[in-house]
Amino acid sequence: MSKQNNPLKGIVNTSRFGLFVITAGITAAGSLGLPETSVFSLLPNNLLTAIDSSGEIIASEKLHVLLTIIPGFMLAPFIAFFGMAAIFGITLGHLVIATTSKVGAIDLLSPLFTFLGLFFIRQYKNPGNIVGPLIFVLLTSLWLSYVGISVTGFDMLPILLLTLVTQLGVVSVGYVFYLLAKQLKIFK
Amino acid sequence: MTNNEEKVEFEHHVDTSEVHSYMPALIGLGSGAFIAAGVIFMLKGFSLQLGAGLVGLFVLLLFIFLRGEIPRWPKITKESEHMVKAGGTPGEFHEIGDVGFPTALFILSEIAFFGGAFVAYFYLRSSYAVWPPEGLHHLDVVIPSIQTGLLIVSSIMIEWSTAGVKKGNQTAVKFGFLGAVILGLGFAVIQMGYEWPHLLTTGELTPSDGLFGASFFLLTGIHGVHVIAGVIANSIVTIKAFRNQFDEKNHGFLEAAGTYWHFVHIVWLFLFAFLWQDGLSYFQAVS
Repeated sequence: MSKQNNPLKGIVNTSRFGLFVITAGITAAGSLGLPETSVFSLLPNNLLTAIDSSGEIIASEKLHVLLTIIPGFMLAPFIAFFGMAAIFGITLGHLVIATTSKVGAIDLLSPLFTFLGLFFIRQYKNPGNIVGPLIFVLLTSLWLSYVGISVTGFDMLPILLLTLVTQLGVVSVGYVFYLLAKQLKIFK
Repeated sequence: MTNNEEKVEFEHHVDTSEVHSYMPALIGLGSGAFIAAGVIFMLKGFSLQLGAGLVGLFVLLLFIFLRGEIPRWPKITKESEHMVKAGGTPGEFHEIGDVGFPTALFILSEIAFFGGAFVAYFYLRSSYAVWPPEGLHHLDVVIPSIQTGLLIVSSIMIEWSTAGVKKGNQTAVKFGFLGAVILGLGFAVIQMGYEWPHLLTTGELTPSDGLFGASFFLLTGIHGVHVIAGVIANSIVTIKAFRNQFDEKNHGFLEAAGTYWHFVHIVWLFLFAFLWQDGLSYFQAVS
């Protein structure tokens, strides 16, 4: 069968489809199946007080949901290995998570920013792969802050700081695993 | 047999212009449209004559099609046998490295099937202000979390197998699919051997518990049937793998079964979100 007769040639193959599904599954299951952990429960109290002296932000239930860690984002640095299939996979996984969000329908737009951020990781995969993850963290944090402000009406700065800490923490852990995998040449 | 020899052998026995024809799909879609429009016209009372005419046209087309096709069936069967002997898989030859068009078409039909089921679910759900309806408690997420884990590991094993077959790694081919079969069976046993009996015997949720109960058992049931079908397909792949029937050049069936299994996995993610975690409930409050 020539390419003319198989419109999917070179676009979809089982390996790419498999990667897409596995990354979507890990991303979705990491949030749907594991207990929800907000950044509030991980940061020390004095740091939280420094960011939010009034305590209003910490008390907000919607922000607790918004600042819940998505363990699947640890896969983000691995885009350098897995390419577009994993970008679509993590985005779909995030979309599945977003359907269950208690923040509201606005969270359905979050996967778009995830997609964009992951795309930057792919674009900057060569020079040490540090620029891409940083852009991903910045982009998703800015969006989450915007969502946080629009649903709670609080100031931007503390929310942005908290979202940055959340995203940076998760992606940093993923980046350590990425470096380890690179060192051990697991994904040749 | 080299690639060229296989190609010559294949083309000697098979008329490729027939194999690559889009006409069957066109005829199928056209006649499907005729009968669907005809039945709707009759049932909705728009025009009994026009409806009956369209259904009659469908029957006529079917008759003409079968009259021409049935005498060719023995020849097509024979060609398929030659194709298999030449190292190919019917409907999957020549492009064994990619997701073949027939496999993709099958997956698309499955997407339409599950898409229809999900649309029906959300349509029914939209008539309720609260979901699950009052009186029914939320389902525990531990079991579906375990099932999701099983599916993720099984997809990884299939991925290992698919990558292995292209490098001639027979161990990966054999044990990757064997693992997927065991994990798939585990999924089905947990669902139909533990979760369903548990829900039914304790009365936590039964199919007669309104739309939620009916939808839950219908959606998880049709998905469960797909899982069983996937386990059967993967078992056949495993048997063929242990007979060393797959190699770097001939593994179309393995790829098709793997693709199908990945699809079954992805449908499950949506089921998990919608049935256990009240996915898209923010639209519920609006309606």
